[in-house]
Amino acid sequence: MIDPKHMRSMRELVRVWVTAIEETARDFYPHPREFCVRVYENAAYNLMTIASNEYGIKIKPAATIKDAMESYIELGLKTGLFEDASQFVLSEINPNRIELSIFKCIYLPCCEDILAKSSGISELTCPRIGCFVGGVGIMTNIACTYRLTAFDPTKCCQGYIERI
Amino acid sequence: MTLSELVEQLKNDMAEVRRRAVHELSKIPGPEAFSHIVEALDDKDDEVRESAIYALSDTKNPDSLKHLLKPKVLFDQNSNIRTATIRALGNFRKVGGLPVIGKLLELSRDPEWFVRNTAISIINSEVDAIKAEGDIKSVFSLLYILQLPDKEVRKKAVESLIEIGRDYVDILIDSIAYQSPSLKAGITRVLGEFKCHDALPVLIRLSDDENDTVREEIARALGNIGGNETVLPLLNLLGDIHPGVRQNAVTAIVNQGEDVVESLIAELRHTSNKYKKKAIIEALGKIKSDNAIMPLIDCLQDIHHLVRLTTINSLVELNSPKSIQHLMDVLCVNPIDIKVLMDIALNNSDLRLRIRAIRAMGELKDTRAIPELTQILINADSEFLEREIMNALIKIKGVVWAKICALQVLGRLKIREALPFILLHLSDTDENIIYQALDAIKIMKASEAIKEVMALAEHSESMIRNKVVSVLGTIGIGNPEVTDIVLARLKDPDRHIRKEAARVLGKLGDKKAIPFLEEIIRTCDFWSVRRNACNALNNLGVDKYSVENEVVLKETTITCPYKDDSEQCPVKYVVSHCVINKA
Repeated sequence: MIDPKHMRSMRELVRVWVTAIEETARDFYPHPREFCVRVYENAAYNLMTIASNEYGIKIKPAATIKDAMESYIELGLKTGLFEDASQFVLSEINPNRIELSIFKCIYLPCCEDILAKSSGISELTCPRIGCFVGGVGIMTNIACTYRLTAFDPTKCCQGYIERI
Repeated sequence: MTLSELVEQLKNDMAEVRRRAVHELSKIPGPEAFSHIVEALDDKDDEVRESAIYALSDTKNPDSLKHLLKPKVLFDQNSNIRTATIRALGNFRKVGGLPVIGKLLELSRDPEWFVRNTAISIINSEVDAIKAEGDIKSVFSLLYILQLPDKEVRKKAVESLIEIGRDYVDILIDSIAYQSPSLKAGITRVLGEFKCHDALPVLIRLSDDENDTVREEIARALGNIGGNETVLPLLNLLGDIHPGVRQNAVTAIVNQGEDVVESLIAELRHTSNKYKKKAIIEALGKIKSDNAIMPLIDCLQDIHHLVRLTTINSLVELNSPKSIQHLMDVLCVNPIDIKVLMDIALNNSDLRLRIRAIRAMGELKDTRAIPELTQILINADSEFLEREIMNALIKIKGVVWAKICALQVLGRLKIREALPFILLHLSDTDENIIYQALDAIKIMKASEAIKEVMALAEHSESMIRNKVVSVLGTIGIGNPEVTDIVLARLKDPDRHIRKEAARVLGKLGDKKAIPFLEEIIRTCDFWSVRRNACNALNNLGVDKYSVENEVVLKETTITCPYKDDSEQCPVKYVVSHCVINKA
């Protein structure tokens, strides 16, 4: 059992760094999305590699976007990154498009910080869905794009992942 | 029942009998009955003690108060007794005065939520009563109440203090030195509402208080009081670490109007704190002074996104003819031919001349110099030369940001007069400037720019080609030339552009596109391109295609349950290059 105080400080550490990366991307690039997407892809890769090489947690192989997302969520649960699978609701509109709702996202404070500094939701690059897309790409070789469609700190965030 | 019978019952072994006796004693007037009730406060049974407290309250005897305020009663182990005491104290508000309020405040921090809740609700009704009476004697009680953790009650107390009037401001100024942050914040709010000029020295002293709420209130109060003395502390509060303080300082300084513009501009030029810059820019945008336009436009070059974005928003808010003119000036293109300078910077054998040429290019802030300067930087053989090139590039990069931001403002404001300046930037060497110019044209729906936009369809940067297709989808509807250009983009090497082209063809509504879109569905490897082509065909009246149920194919991993009877298979495998292992 992780000490809740320690857990809280780890969450704040995530907030501090992710917000800093997002802010810096905006300082340097007029269109920071491409940079941020690459950051999330690398983060997903690092998670999988560290989980597998250093902790022996293997990720389930996947052939479809939904399978890959479910495997990634399972990995997140095993590594303690996610609290509960019910934080995510996946809805397969068709095999090429998954719509998802995210509850109690660890990156929520980062997005709130960014939103307080930038003009609108369209400028949010969503680290959560971005990492899912990175994970899907690594596991299945299916290149995907994504978009955040709703941001509501009181309820949940929503978005979609779609095959290119 | 007589007094003596009731006294006899108080000695009964059964607690229920003693409890009832205490209750009955409260109905009998006189000191003797009263003294027996007081004795019952020491009863070993909780319910009897509780009954005694209610009985003391019912007697309305002022002497009850001194017994209710005894620690053994106030801090009884039993939470029901503490709750009963709070309710009883509520009945002695007028005679009790400050000591009662003090004890209620202590009980509002009780470990039991129910006790705390009761204390707060009694204090709340106390504040209501004071407000209704408007008695200046109640000021000290209200000051006590300002230390309560409950925000709503504190808010009411502040309102009551304001309502009572300003005859007691000296008491407030003296009391502000107390340690409690909520007391300081409450008093500051009241002094601010009274616009109490005499309080300025003490308020200014508190402007660096360690508590955020106190500083927030100080900023608000200084804004209400106004005057030259408040400008400097407010300028300092604009750079506060707490966003709420900065926000209040912005509102406060905006209230001072045009008089503070010069000070704000001086501070803007002096500070390197991006949050302070943001606050100053917000204030300047709200004051809407023409004097602030040039400093604001300078901020479009800032290295921080936060500062640039706030400036854009302020300039949009300002929207004056003068600011538009200055924004168009930012978009002016340098008319000087810089080839000679570039040649000197690249090839001259005299290092001093090269340096001068580099410096000149930096000062001209011409984006055309970026490729050459970058080239010299790569091949630079001296640290000195490197530094000079970096300085020049930083200056030019600042102008790139300024142009991007100016294009954003003009686009958002839909300034048609700026279109010639915007068009000039479609041939800029910086792709981000071209992109932003295209975006402005799209927002303005400036169809008169169509030729210039179409000319960029073969641009070397995919980001620009994609934007061109998107802009043509907005301004090119009904133009047959546009269809041909977008059709050509269906063969673009970049899949994102093919996807956008397919989408735009559906929007343009030209049936000429149908066979090309059908071909894309048959040949393109990318699902989202095919999906957009299907949607476009649907728009053009062809509804026989759908890729919604297409699955991602992987060699040997998919086994079709319908084997060779592919007609029956609900899944449509349309990707020709994938191999299906049909078991």
